[in-house]
Amino acid sequence: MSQLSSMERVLLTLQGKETDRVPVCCLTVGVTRQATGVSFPAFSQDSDAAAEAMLYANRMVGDDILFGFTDLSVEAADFGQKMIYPENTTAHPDYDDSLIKGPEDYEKLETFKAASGKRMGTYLDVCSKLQKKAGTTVPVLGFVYGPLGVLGMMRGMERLYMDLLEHPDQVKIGLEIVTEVLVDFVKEQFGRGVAGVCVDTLPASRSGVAPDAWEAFEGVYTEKIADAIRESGILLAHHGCGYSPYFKEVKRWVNPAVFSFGDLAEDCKDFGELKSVYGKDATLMGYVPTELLYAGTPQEVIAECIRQIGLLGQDGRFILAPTCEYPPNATLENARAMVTAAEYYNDFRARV
Amino acid sequence: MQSVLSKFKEAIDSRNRAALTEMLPLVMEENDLGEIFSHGVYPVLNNAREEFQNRRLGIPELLLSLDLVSTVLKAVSKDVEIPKRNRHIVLGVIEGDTHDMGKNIIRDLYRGYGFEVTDLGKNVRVSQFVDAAVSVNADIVGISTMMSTTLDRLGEVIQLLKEKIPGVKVIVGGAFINQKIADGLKADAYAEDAATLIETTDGLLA
Repeated sequence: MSQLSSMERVLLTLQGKETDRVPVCCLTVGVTRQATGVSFPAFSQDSDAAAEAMLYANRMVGDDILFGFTDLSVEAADFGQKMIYPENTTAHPDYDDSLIKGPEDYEKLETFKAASGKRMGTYLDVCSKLQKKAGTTVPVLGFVYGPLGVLGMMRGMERLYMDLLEHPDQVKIGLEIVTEVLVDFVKEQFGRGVAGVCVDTLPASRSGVAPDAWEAFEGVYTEKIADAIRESGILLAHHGCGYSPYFKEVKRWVNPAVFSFGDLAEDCKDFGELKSVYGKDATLMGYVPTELLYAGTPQEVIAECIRQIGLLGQDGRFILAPTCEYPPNATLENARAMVTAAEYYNDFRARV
Repeated sequence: MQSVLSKFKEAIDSRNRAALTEMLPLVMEENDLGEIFSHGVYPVLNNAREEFQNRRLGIPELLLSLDLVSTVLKAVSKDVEIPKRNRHIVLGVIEGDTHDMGKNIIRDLYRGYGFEVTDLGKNVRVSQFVDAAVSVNADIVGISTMMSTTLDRLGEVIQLLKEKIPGVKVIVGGAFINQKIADGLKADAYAEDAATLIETTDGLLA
């Protein structure tokens, strides 16, 4: 089969059709700064700097999806949460000065138009720039942090988790408000031309809350965001990098076309079952350990990629990707190794 | 008829803060410290760890159980000295990282099981870890991180701790850490989760 463009490769994969090779999405975010030398604060707050870094890294690595994501603080910042922008690591909330200081503060959150938010507006500019410069050949995947995660950025995850048990009604008021803004945010991303949007619901795993609690406190709200993405006619992806993710519950409420995952599903005994249960109608995207990408040699990374392509790449509907964001301070060498593994799969398979 | 102590245990088990607050003074009046710990605190902690390990308990439930145990510890320690294991643990999240939920769970577990704990908080500088560990002559230093951007500093603090306190044991944990990374950092142990931490710690101190 002749060589396909990234766009062709991804689209055919999503349809379960034959491709020249397995597509790769390296989830390179903060690490892309290395391509242009931009600082962490500029990457979060300057759309030109972020888009340029992402484009350069994509060209250097040669992966098939431009993952438009800067950090998890975007949405919460525009609700008014004070943020810290360190020089040497990713932006994060000032947890000593949480916007939601007590259960009574959830209802004080106010809705706003996503495009009017400083950080969301900057992020939407990133989407526009990526789409304009590369979007016809490489699909641009937008991003939205799930409602429980956004609320956690404003309350502190630990306090939020205890509020779920002790003040559930107040939390739900906050979730309603946050969700309204997130729905508008994904519609605005569609307006910038992205090929799809990825919803990240970290608590949908054993690293988060129990399955029934996830459904009650995030599934029901994420469904509204998912519906907005689907109604826009673009790709709906879901990312969950926690331990033992709840595929069944995520399918019920989100029903994504792409599951980006970091661990075996809670209800599957092995990856063969995962492929047969969830990889028939949807595309699986994973699951090269970020620890390996950080500490492993390219040879070790390639060996793991070959193993995973052999395990999940048969009959299509598989995108090779890390378990979570590519480590921001690793080198890009192992991202390139992932693409190399996909390009030379048959050669390497004979060797490893 | 149900004893006050069993109602007290039930209040923590069911994570009922109001019931616990109401009966705590009575429990303290009618029971000595040994009974409160052996029939109340330890069974609750053991049960919470087991339920968490068997996936019948989520992180919110574990957090709340530990928070209620901490409430009990604070209340009883006002009047009497709580028996300690005579082992001192220094805990913190390394500089550059502010994710402290896991560290807080570990802290509350250690305290519940009678360890002396110095909690340095989050975003802790290398020198703070070393100074605190030297100051209390720590048996164990537990360092947490959820990020990859902090690993250089983690390696630095472990090296310095080993130089300054030759017998100290260092446990590392957090989402990005695994056994291989812990070995590479020359840590003495990798804390995979809260459920097995106490056994890991006891093993190091044996």
